[in-house]
Amino acid sequence: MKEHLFPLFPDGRRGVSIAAKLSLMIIAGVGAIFLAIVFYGYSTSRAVLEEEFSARMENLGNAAESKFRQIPRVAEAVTRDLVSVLTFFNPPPGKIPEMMKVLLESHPEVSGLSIGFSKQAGDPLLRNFCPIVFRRGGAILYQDLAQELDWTVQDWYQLPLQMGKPLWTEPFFGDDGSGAMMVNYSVPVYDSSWRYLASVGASLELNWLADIISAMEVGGRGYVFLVTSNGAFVSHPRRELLMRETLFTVAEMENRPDLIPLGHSMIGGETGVHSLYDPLRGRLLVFFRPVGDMGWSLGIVFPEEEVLDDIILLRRVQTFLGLGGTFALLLMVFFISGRISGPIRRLKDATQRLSSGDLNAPLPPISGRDEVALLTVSFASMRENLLLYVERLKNETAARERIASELDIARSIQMSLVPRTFPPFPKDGRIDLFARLEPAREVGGDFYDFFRTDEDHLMLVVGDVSGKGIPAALFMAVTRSFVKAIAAASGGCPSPAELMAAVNDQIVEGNEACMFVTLSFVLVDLRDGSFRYAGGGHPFPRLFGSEGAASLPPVKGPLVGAMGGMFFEEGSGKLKEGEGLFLFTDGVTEAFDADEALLSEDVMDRWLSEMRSLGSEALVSEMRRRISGFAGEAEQSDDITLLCFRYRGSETRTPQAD
Amino acid sequence: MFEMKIAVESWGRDVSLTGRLDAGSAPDFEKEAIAAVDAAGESVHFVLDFTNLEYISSAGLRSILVLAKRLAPSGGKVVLCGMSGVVEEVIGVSGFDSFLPVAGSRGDALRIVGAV
Repeated sequence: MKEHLFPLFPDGRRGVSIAAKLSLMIIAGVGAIFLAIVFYGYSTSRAVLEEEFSARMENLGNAAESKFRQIPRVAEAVTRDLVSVLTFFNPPPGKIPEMMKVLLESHPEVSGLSIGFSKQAGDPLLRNFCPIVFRRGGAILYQDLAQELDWTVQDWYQLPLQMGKPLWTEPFFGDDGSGAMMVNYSVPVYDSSWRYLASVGASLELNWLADIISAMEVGGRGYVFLVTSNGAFVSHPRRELLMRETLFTVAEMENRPDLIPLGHSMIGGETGVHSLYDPLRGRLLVFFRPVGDMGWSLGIVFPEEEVLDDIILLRRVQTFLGLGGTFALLLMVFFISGRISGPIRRLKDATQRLSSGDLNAPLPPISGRDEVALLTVSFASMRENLLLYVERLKNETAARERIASELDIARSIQMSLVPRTFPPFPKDGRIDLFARLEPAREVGGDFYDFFRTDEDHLMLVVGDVSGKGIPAALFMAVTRSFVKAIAAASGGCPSPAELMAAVNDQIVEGNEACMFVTLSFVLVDLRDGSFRYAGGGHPFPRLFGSEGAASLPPVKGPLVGAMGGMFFEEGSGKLKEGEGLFLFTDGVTEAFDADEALLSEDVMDRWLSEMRSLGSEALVSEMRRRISGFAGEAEQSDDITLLCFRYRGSETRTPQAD
Repeated sequence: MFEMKIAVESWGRDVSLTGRLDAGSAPDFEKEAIAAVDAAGESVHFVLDFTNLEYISSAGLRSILVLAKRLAPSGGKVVLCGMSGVVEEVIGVSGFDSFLPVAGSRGDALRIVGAV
């Protein structure tokens, strides 16, 4: 994976690949849309399912309700019949038990009948009479309760008396030992003079409740419960709650506060759905509605997850599909962006190698005609150009180096030929001599020389060889050797003009390259300052002294080495003590300034006049300084040679110490 | 900087030089002049018109010398004309006028090569 690691950017941070960026953005977008769809689908389908649940429960409740009403109505009818018999026929007390037995026999739904007469009844026979009939073991038994207890404190007697209307009592466990749950319907009865005659009751076993409830097909883990008008359980799968606990007591005992609002809704006779949390069974949905005339309320409970089974399943499927889809999309995006960014990455790798200097690094093959292909093509042409450029640069550099090294060699030959020890004749107090050769960068060929031909004669030589480089340097060496050799051969006091003619002839011999040299010779007699001179195509020396500076009178003489058999004129003059001679090459007078203006001989002569009182070394340095100042930024185009000789007079002075 | 025009005449080549004939331009001049000599194949004269020449250096002188030496064996001449100023001075100082014919005017030059 190393080649997938992005290199550091110049700011030191690592980059992110296009593939990663694209994938991240697409996944973020798709994920958000997916979540929104799941959430919307879940919430709407949940609402639909809850409505559907509510409707189903209502149907269930309605079916139960109609059954629920039937049996109590039987009890009510029987009770009313008994009341009618009592009030219309006014039967003697002895007949009453028989009547009650007959009635009970013809109504199998009713488990017992009872009449509790008032202790203030008009008929004294009735004042301590409480006949009851009830079923036991298939037979119908009769009992006068008055013999056993005080019936007037019991609910079924007391409540109708107090309320003045028929009513259902709270359920209770029957005392017949069967443990069956019972409920009484009690009706108040008044005699013709509107005195309280009796409370007439019918008792029902509530086992039919169980039948009705078990007949309700709630399905799954759902169950049904029934509470009375004060919230007491009369039906519940947890039998220990029956008759003993109410919704409110359970709420307190089991710390389930959400049962309290449910209880209030149920005993208030409302219909609706509540959501509950049962620590044992999780979230529950409770549908409730009133049933019958007894003020009771039916509750149907379902675990929420069962109600919402479908939607949970749907949500799971959706989530699974969504995640799977997202993953597939991720793979696809990686694949696609890899296809797109792959060529870019390969190009990046190639250009990285390119930028590190490996110009021969192969570029990725060009496929297609898109932007990347175009970029690759551009890079390829850039690399071609770079290679060409580098090649050309290499060649040029090599050529330049070759020329430079040749020039270096020429320069070292040139500089090794000219004497550079000053003062040259420290023991001879008559001589004050200084010279300087300043080679140009390319053109060259200047040289100077000075030597004593004997004790009292000093030869000054300045020359300028045409051409440049090693040929010019060698030509210069040859010229200098000829000058020295011929001067030596001609004795202590050669004639400059004859010497130049001899040198000319020697050089012309075998000068295939047509090179030539300009020369200026001056031979000074150190005893009296007199001198003779000759010139071969060279600017004439200047004589300077207290009166200024001036050129020596021109004498004829052509370039040396161009043509054999030439004649050179000779001139002569005399230096007074302190006067001097200034020899130079055309590099001085033809120095250019930045505007390509020539320095000219006039300017040089004026400068020389201004410096006439300086010693030779100071004069040469000052002249050099002024030439540099004149040239300014302009490159020195030719060698510059300056030679100054000042005559200090005949040997009247003390020679300088060595 | 430097320009040369070579006109072919019956007697040889009429060459007009403009600008500076120095170390930079001399090799070109030499090459073209020698090429002209080789192309002529027979005895030719050269008239070099310096009227528009601003400057001539030692390298320029050498290239003219090469041309003159090249023509000498076959009897060809190099005639200079139209010199003034620095150029005239250089030719004088170098002594070129002592081994090459120098004409005061163009007409004189043409007379020397026998064109008129």
